[in-house]
Amino acid sequence: MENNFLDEISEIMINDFWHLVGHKSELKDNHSFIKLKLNIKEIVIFNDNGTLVAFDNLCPHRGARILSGKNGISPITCPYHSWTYTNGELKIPSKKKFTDCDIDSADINKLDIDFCGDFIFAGFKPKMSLKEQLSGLKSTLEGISHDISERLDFNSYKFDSIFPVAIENALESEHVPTVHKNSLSGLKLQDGEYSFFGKNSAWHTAVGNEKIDKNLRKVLENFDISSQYPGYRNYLIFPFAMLSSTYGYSYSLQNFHPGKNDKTYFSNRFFSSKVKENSDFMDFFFEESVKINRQIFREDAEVCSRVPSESWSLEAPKYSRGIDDRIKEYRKTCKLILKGDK
Amino acid sequence: MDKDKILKIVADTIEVESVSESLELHEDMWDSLAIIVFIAALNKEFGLVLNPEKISSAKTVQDLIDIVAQG
Repeated sequence: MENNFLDEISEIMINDFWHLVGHKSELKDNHSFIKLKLNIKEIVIFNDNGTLVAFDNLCPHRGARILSGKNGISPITCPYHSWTYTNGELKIPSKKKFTDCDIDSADINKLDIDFCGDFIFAGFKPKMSLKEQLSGLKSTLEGISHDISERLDFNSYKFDSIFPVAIENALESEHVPTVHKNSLSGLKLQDGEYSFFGKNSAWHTAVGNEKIDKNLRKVLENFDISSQYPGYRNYLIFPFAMLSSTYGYSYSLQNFHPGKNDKTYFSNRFFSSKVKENSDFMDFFFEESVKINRQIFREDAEVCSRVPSESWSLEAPKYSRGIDDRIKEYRKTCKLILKGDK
Repeated sequence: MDKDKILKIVADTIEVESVSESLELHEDMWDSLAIIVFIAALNKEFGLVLNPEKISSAKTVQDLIDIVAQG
């Protein structure tokens, strides 16, 4: 690719910022884990007998990757020489034989971990507190996190485009009628309003399809949620996460992580919101929503693959309109980061 | 079960004035959202909790009436 500065931006974003890696409901069971790739690095969050731990998935012994798979339940045992992390301790086979080193100081390479409500954030060396990074979005995210019930889908693959192209696609709605003509466009989303919170941003808009909008309102009483918004909204949780929802009945958490060879490591997780007693029939709605969500992101991946890395730059788009404000702001932020302004 | 009430709930769900038993339920009007709205309304009106898969298999309003009658 021509724009080598992207590697530099990726490195800074990966190392210096907090990353939204999941929701506590995903890690309720002992040994449950989530693994996300960020370029050549990985972040693993796992449940160590009730304590959530973040690490880089590398064994401190020979540097082998410990966990494979994107999520699941597994002890933190290296398949190479069986070094195992459990109950806050690294168990080393034949430990007494390691006489020429300070074996007692050996530990997995833990990453910083913090929480916004039930959302889990991790960072390699974040340069600011999570509170500072989330800015005015913190209380909104806390509220949303408490409305979430459980993860119903974890879907991941590579976008054949660089991550800023994938993120900018998620930041604008102009493509919806053409790219998502058989999926998201059915909601007839309106222009709505944009707001900015530090490096994060939000889009709130009404559902223009009156029939759908009325029906969405009718089922509100079946939900046990407090952070409801009567329409569609999405948030850029800088640097790599997007969170979107219609009416707060479910949430889609997308991670657009830098990948090797101009790819984006994409994952989408679908979370249902809490429903009231005797509203289990909502599962049917959630199952259908999962299918539509998958379709929407496949459509996004397809269209993003048409945008070569050379088409992206740090400058504001030459031709833009009001609804591109978030893209302008995103590029401005990337430029500032490259200049060393965190 | 009051058939007229069921017809009214179907009509409200698909946002029309009234429906007849012979009305065919096409995908564009009888999607997953409409199905759960219908079930939620029945639950509120009659205290019934119906299976969404059964409701989605209905081809006509009469099918819905039959499914509701079976409980």
